[in-house]
Amino acid sequence: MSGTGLSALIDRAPLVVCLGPGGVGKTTLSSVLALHRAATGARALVLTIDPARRLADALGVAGLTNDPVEVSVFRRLHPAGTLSALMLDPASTFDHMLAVLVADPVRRAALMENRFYRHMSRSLAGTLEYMAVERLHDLAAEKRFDGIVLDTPPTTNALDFLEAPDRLASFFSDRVVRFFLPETGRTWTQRLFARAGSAALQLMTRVGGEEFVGETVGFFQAFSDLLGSFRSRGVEVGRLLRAPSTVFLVVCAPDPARLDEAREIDRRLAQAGCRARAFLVNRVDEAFLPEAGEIEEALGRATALLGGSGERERARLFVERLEALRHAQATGAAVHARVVDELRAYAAPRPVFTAPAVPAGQSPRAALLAIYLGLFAQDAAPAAAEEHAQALSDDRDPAMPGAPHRRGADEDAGGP
Amino acid sequence: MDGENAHIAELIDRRDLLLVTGKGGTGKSTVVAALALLSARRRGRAVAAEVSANPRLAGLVGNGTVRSVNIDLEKAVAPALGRLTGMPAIAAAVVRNRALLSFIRTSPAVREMILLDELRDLVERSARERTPVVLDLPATGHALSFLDTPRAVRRMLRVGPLAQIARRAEELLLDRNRTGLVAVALPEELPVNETIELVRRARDMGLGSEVVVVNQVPVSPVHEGDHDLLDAVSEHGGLALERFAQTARDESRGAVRAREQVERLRASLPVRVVELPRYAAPEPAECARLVAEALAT
Repeated sequence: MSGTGLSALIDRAPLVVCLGPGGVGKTTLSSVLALHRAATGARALVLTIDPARRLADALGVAGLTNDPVEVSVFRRLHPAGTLSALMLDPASTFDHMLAVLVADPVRRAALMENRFYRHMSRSLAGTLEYMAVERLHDLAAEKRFDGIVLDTPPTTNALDFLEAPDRLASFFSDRVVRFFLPETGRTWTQRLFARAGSAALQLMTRVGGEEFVGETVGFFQAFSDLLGSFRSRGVEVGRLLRAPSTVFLVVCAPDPARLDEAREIDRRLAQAGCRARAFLVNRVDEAFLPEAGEIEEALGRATALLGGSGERERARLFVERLEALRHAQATGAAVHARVVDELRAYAAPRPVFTAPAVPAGQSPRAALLAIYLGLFAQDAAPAAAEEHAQALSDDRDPAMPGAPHRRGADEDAGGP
Repeated sequence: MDGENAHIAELIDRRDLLLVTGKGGTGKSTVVAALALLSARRRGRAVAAEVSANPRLAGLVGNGTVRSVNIDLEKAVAPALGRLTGMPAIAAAVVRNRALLSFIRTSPAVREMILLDELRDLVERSARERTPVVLDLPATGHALSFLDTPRAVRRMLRVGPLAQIARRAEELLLDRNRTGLVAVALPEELPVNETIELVRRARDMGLGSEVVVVNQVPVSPVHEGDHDLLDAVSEHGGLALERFAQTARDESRGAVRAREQVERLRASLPVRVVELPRYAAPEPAECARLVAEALAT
């Protein structure tokens, strides 16, 4: 069975990458795409960076780890496929990578002690992006999954992630490394000053002080054997990302401000040689609204309720508040429709798919199913509508199993 | 002006630098623009600053008394290195070396320190003109590691110019009389969790976390005792009305859950919490103006 629209676009892709501005619901949409792959019989994995408790709730797992965890809560929808999820932990990925690259435990321990390394693997902004592609590299090599959906880190610059492998490669490029690697028979200071002609190193020493340059040189010394591996990994991941079979999707919210960001991401993707294949607009309000005055009329027909003047006043205020809601919804839906139209005009001939706005009152599980149904329509698994109805009825009766797990204020928020 | 907004006014009147952060999608940039507009109204002028590949603030603050500034790393590198080393000519030459420039761009501590030094320079120049700077930081996790760079650098280095900038940046960031932190949240479970975590970590770092702004707090469209009327409307209208009544029920349930989250935030943190209403998606600049208005009254 071959799907239509979005389904046809992603059904055979070994790697789907979702990019977009922060807070547009990339993580949820990525999970929905992975769920769809599973429903078509694939072994699907969603790799997420957002420490989204809500996602763990929706997927019915206690917590996500740096290794894939199989998710069974939607198993009725994917009898033949599997759905797994992984939440990236940069520090442990970095250490794992080191464990693979450095066999000698003594040398490995020495590296891990290096302050430059510790800073780089733990607190450095940008590490997340490096590590996302590093983990992706491992998983793609393992071939345990037919389809991986990558939810990219929420950064100010969504493209940081795409540039990470190249930056990793250039960070360890010969031209930079040769500034730091000692020549035989010399200590780094001797080498530094032997190269006194190098204004750059002089400058680096002035900026950081000898200690800084010392730590940096120590890091490059310790890593000298690994540089080749680092570089080649960077290049391989870059190749994986740029493979013609990789599908890039830009996720956006129906908000005029977010639209500019999405277009900017698209332009930069194209510059990087990874043209986005489609756009997904999340949380689009569809207006099924009554006409003006319809609320009051209906209430008028139910006259039995309106007794004394106090009751009439209550009814008047009630109608006023509902009219305000109707107005807000109509305004919102009009803005959403305009943004989607504008995006369609920009994206053409590439398609723009919309996912519905889910009322805040729904549980993460019900919301995920509602988005799945909205996004895939006739391509959704037949059991999905039933599952969604079940999730909604569980929502109304929180005592039922499968209801959203509520957390107390004193529990750990988990993750940064 | 109620107690909470008075606190915002006090922040604006007394600080040289307001750091604004929050989870992505919480309306952080809108709040930054609104705080800058309000600062300009109270103090005559304000600077709205961001560190972004895709600057947005210029479009949000208009062409009035708020100046928008994007701190651009590429442009900041040469002057910052020159200032640091007292060797501006060599700095300019080094920056032209592509390999070294790429090292500087990649090497995070250096990158963040240069940005922080540019920020400090901007704040000091503005403070001399009694102009506050409102900074749109990256989303929570990134913002904290950015703000924590001076401490990380000082752990790594004790002497040298980089250690010196780290100390200078830290002095500004940790001076509670000059710098304030504003966290922007949404009344939803995850943003609230993240905000609680943010404020705790900011406190551990010694930052003065002074105000949490909860954006887009919904108001229930149906009052507690009015669900009988809603049921009546739903039964006596057409399909559209039936669906609309369901929307109203969903919205009122959403408002109850949002209220629970705001209360959880208030109970978990000993900081001021300011609530903002939800606006029906107008243009971004219009939204910033409305938020400024809401914060002023």
